[in-house]
Amino acid sequence: MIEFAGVGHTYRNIIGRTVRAVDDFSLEIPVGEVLGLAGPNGAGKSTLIALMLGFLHPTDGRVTVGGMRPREYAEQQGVGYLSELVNIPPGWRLEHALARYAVLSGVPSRRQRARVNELIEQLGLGEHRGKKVKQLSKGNLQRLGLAQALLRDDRVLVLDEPTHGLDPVWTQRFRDVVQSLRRPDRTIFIASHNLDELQRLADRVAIIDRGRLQRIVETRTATPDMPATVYHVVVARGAELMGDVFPGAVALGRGEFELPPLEMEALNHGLSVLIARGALIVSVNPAHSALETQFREAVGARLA
Amino acid sequence: MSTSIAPTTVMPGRGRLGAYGWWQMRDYLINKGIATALIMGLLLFLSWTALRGAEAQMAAQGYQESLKPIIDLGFVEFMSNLILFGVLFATNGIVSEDRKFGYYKFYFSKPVSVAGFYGQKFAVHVAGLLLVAALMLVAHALVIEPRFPPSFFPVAALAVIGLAGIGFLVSAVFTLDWISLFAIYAAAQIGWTLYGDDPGIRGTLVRGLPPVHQLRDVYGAVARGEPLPMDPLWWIFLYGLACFFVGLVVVSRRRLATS
Repeated sequence: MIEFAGVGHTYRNIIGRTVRAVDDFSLEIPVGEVLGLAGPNGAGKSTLIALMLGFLHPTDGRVTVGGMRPREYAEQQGVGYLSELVNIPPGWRLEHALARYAVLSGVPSRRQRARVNELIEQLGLGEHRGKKVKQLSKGNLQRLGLAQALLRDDRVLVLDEPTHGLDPVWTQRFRDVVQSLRRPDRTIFIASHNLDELQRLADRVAIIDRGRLQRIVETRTATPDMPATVYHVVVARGAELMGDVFPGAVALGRGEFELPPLEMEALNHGLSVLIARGALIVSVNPAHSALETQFREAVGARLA
Repeated sequence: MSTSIAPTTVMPGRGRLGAYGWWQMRDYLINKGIATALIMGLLLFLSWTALRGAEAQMAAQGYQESLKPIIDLGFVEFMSNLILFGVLFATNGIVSEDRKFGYYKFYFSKPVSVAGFYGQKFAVHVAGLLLVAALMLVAHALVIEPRFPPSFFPVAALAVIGLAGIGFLVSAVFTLDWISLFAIYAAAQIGWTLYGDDPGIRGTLVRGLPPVHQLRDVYGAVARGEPLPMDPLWWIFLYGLACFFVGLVVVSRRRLATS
């Protein structure tokens, strides 16, 4: 559905220095996938999105969306897009802004008011509908940005730092929204600094650094040969057994322990021994998600 | 509040760009039309004060001459200012503002063509300016004297399209568009006056600029109801139209993002 083939993008910055924002980037995103894009600041995430929407042209390689050039695709099919900075003229009223974008989205005039009202209601913007954009808080502006991205039934959704500025309640609600938008004929692309969010939402996460694709992490698959990982275990009973079963386990208090790096076989064996000896296990979680571990490996050394 | 977004019955298809023209007209009238009308209102008030002053002075000195030549000249100034200031306001930021402030991101993720969007915006701003011009003509009639020359609107339309076309191209290319358009206008005005007949390189360069210095002759003919000198008017109109089409090519080919 979306294909980057050997894509590079070079531009001159304000002092005339040549900057290679994206370098030899190749990736295919099939229809139906939720793909995450992670990378440190300045890694090239926003440039990749601008290339995908045809706002920039690649200096090397090719980007296609649905087999078409990105601008051609956007002009014919439309893309549900939420940018990192929500750029809407500050003098527009929230309700009018959505009405305008609905017209540009092709929402039929007979459905327009209802669709705008649905989104205002569903994104909790009812009390702000008459406010000007400049009067909205960061979180409300972000929700307005999300609302305009969802006005029509787009097959491609591109969300750039979608939870930036949202409070914890709306961050969770946003995740529910994205889950509800999953569809076999829809491709969703999410760029985020928040690895936990990508781990929860995406099927795969592409990690980029300095404009290059570093690795792709499958978030849905846990394989037996996953690398040794540090786990946090909480027990309600049997804390005194932890040191025997997991030598090197560190007590963190209130029944919580940090285990030394373990492979999955060793972890499961230890847990079965604990249970057999009467321990009551409340939870077992990796101290770092698989994605976080991979991200650290891919870019952490440079950033450390 | 539900935690999911209800699916829409909107089927993939093109945006309703034509319907968006009403929003573009609203933006023009609020952001630019009112400013144009205020400036022209102020200039009309100054003309009225000067005219009343001249009348009083002439009466005091016992002159009986008609003020018609002065009123004619005032009408030329009125039309000249209306079209120049109107175009400066109408084309300022017409393209560049969206790029500068990032508004293009949400416009052009929607299924609309960039060239279509800006082509329509240009047409709407020209129509809006002509609407403001009609209101100002009525204001002129109320304040100075009733005068509705039949050639006013055709001439205003051709001159506005000519100058606005240049403004559109400038806005598609530069950020400081109204200053650039004013600089082009001033350079053409001064260049043609000083070097229009020069057979050398300066004359050749100047002849590449629109002959805006002749617009006052056209406005004068409108004011006096005389036959119009159409050559310079067509020249400016076609020059601006060509600039507009080049501007459309620029907006559809040029990258929208800055980096």
